[in-house]
Amino acid sequence: MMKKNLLLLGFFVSICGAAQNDLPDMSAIDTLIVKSYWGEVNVNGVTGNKSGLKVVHTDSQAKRKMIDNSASGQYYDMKVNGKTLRLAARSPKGFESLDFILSIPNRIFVQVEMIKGGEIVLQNLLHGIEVNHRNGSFKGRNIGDYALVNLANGSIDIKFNSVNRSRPISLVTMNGGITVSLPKTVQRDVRLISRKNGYLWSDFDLTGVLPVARLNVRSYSKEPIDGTVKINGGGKLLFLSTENGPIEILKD
Amino acid sequence: MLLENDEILMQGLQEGNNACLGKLYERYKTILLNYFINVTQDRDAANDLLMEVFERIYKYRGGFDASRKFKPWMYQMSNNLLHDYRNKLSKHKSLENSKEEISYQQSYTFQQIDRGIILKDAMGRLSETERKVISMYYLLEIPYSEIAQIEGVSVNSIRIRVCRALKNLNAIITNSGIKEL
Amino acid sequence: MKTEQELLKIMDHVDGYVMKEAESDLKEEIKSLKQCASGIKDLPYEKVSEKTDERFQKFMESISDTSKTNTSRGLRTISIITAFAAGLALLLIFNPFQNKEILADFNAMKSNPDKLSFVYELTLEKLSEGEIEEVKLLLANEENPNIKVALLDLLENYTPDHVKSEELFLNLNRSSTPSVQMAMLNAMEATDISDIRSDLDAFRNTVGLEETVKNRILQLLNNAKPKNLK
Repeated sequence: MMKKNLLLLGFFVSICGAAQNDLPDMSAIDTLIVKSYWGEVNVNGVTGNKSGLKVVHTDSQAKRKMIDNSASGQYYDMKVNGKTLRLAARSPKGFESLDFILSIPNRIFVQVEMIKGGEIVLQNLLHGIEVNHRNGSFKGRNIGDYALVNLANGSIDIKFNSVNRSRPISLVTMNGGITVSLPKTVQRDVRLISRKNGYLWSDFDLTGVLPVARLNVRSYSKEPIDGTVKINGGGKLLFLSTENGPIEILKD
Repeated sequence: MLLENDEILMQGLQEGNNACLGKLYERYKTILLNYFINVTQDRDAANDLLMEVFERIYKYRGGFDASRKFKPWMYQMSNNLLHDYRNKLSKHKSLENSKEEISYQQSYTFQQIDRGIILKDAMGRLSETERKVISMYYLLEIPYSEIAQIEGVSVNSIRIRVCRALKNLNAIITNSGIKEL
Repeated sequence: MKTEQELLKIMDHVDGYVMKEAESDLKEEIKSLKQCASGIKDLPYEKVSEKTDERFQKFMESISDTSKTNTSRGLRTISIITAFAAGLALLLIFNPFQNKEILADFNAMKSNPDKLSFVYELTLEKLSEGEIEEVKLLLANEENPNIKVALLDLLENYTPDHVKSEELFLNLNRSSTPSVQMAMLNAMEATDISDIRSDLDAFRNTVGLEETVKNRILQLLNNAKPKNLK
């Protein structure tokens, strides 16, 4: 997975000099909604109001090409409604896919919905994210405020650089592991569910009734994990649920 | 009325009678859908693939040689699409999926469950290659010689693949506690 | 491990190329493989979804103005999902627990994180019967999958006495998010599913249903006792 992300990053770097699609004036935008079917969604937050969008189309024969402004309407729609910018891929023909590579102000709240499959990478976003994804993994880096992430098939790996103490976090997947990295002072009530093939690893001291016989042993078990514990005395909810996979809570 | 066999319908389609495509769709939609379901184990994808097959038949109608049989041409197209689909999915599906498929070993204990459900479930646990070959032979009823042609291997290789798939299917059913189908 | 020649010999019998009786050590295996083969041939066909037929019809219209197909003939039956949706609508209209505080408080919240926090706070309390009914309504109306999963986690505490399998099935039919479907099926574990067995079995054929969800349904069906054995 790491290799794949590096490849995507490499691709991103390699096309930086290429034609870029226009985004509207981002100073008036506070929410970005991306809807896609197949492909990658990579959103990177930056300081200030700089922005950029690169879109790559891959057809059923795996031929890749950059989409510029003149052809964008064939592949995706972009609309501004109030303070919300909405980017939506057109319904795909066969197994064609679109990669969206966005650079946006880091104060913008981001919501991503992937209907078929792909990878989602969100980074340096300080005001929360919501993700609904079907097939493929999710990776979040330097996320702030809160996150609601829901996957069907894929692992969740998210690293917060700050969390809003009055907002919950919920990470749910059906098939896949969950790894969450949190600031060391975070206070949370943690709801833990792993129905099978799981283990529980925590860098934090967990108080309450531990739902596993052995903590911090990376050995997959058929036994379900189901319990609620506290980190640093407890606080808002950290909901971690997987049907099939381990849970790791790491200290940033 | 002249019997409209597949090749005549394809000829009609080539001559601009698009209604012929509708007739071919009606003729093959169910069997192709079930083939795709058996192989992909995903109804949504199977329906997409079915649609895609007929779009391609239309798109490539000019390349069909009416002196040859329609079915192998269509099946070849179907398998090419399955290949594209598999490539796409393997790119995106996580390892956890395969783990799920392997780790699931539910016993069948409920007496009223019908054999169709058992068999379908057991087929779901075969490898995709195994599902494909037995579906081609037993569901689509393609002769060994044509499957061999489509897959680019010898007839005996196909027969051995079918045999291994049946043996694995039988082993899954037996291990699940069912004595006999 | 059998050699390829031995496998071909077995297939000669399974395919009926050889009519004479097989050697005794292969007899049982050939019989089983023949049963598997005939089982595959006899598998009932699944129907093409109405949506795909409509897509095909649209495609036909796009390539031809004059061609008419009869692909959607007889396909416009009222689906079980529609029927349940109608049932749910009735439930929402006639539910005697409307306008309680939980509903009002929840609906007043604008953001998903606030709603999720609210649901979690409910898990720390013991809810009355009326409040549980309100939570069921929240579940029926909520769109966000993470909030739905949290609501189901809450309702699971009240199965089987206050949350019945029929109510969960009603919601299962309305959700297309796999993790939410799984949470509903998990909540059904402790309920009596004998009255929804056939509905659950039929639901397994829903277009696009994930394998994991299908397997979970099968597991529920297998683990549950038939009604007459209760």
